[in-house]
Amino acid sequence: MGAGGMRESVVITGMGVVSPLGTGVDTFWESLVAGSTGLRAITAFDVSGRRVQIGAPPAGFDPDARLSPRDSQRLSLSSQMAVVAAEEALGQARLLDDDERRGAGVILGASMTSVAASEPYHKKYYETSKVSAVGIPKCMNNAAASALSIRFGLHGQLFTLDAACASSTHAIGIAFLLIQSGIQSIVVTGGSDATLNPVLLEGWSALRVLSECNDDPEHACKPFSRDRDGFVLGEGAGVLVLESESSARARGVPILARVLGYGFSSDAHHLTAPSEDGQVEAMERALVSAGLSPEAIDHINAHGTGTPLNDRIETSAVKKLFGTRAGSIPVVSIKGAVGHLLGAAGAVEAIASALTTMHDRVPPTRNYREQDPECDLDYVPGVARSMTVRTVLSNSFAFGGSNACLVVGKAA
Amino acid sequence: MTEHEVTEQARAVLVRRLKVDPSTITPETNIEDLGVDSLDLVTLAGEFEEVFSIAIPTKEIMKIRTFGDIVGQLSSKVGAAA
Repeated sequence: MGAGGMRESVVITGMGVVSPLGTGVDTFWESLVAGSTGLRAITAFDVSGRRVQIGAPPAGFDPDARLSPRDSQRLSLSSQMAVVAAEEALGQARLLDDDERRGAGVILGASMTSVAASEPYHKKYYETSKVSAVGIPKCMNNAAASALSIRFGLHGQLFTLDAACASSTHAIGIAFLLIQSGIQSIVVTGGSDATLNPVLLEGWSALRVLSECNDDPEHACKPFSRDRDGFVLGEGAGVLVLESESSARARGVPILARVLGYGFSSDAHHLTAPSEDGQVEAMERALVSAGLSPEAIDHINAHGTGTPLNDRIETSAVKKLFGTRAGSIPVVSIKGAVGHLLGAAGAVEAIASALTTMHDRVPPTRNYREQDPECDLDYVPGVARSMTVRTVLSNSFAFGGSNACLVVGKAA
Repeated sequence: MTEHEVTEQARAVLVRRLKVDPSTITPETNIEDLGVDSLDLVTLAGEFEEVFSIAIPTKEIMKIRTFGDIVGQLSSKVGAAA
């Protein structure tokens, strides 16, 4: 607890992004509001004859320019992206030269990255019965968070949590709770995931949740649109510096935006199918945590995967919670532009939410074309919209039934 | 391959995967009544693709309601391949 047992206000003082829309927050945001795409035909490995041939790898990402040869060898793609995103976030928060960062924690989300990174080691083992010594430390799910702690000298909490597609939203939520309760004053949080590899692509494809529009990659993922047929697997990292308002003020750093609330729920229902009730519960708890009524939410950054089922259930959940007002809230999924970044999705979407409050601009839902009678909200099709955005509800609903929602608010 | 052979092979896949009594599976049987959920359905589709060396489009999987629907889809594809 802070002074007098009061809860600390939690602010965002730094952000960094590596995404299919580009590397760096400014590039990411400009591309997002311009309606650009990060979806493309996969060229990193042979996809000929496959049902799904589309992916969203990171753009403008040049790890060799930022990392030593040794780091490049020891760090997986996921860890490398996390380092680059964190460097941007810590720089913006003016922590790279500030001793205050010593006590900072690192809490990241990651989902399938360990499985993806270890695949070459499995393959080599079955061919040669040998595994490189770097295999384990490079592929462990906590590798990215550890890399941040080591590189930047952060001595606080250090762990990675996995709740599939809700991982980094929970990571930010836990960081929020730790700061709110005064346990940590600064936490470097978010998530990183790199899972575009042949085995995982085939696994997602077998689940029939990926878009199969191979002849038109840029328009493959169409959240909430009647003709939607699934998501596009993407890779990226989003890192935020969360800080108590008192710490930010004492250090004299600008406050970019705020984390006002965190809500969660477990469907206790099914490994892959979503539950409307679970989603409503998580959104409701986020509002309670923020001390806000549904009327106070200006915009929703949806989970919006672009699968037929997710978008229908999420729409229905939003309508249940927001009632007659649901139709007048802009509900946007950025997955039509960046793909589904799995363990990094919630972090990059939280950053998009913060940017929305900073610029008073709502990005479009890219590739939305046609109204589905069961998805009848305002999805901001086509072009970005200028409007005052004081609060954003950012949703992440995961396989396994783990739901996480954040309320992000304007700095002042 | 005859439709009868397709039916028997498809039934064998269901029996192996769902641990159900083969006599409970008729063309009219609703697959939900066999306990098939959405994850079972796509898993079964993958097995059918392997067993019959065919590709089943996702849109067609989503139309399946009965065992007869399965046999109908498989028969048309196996026939088309022959």
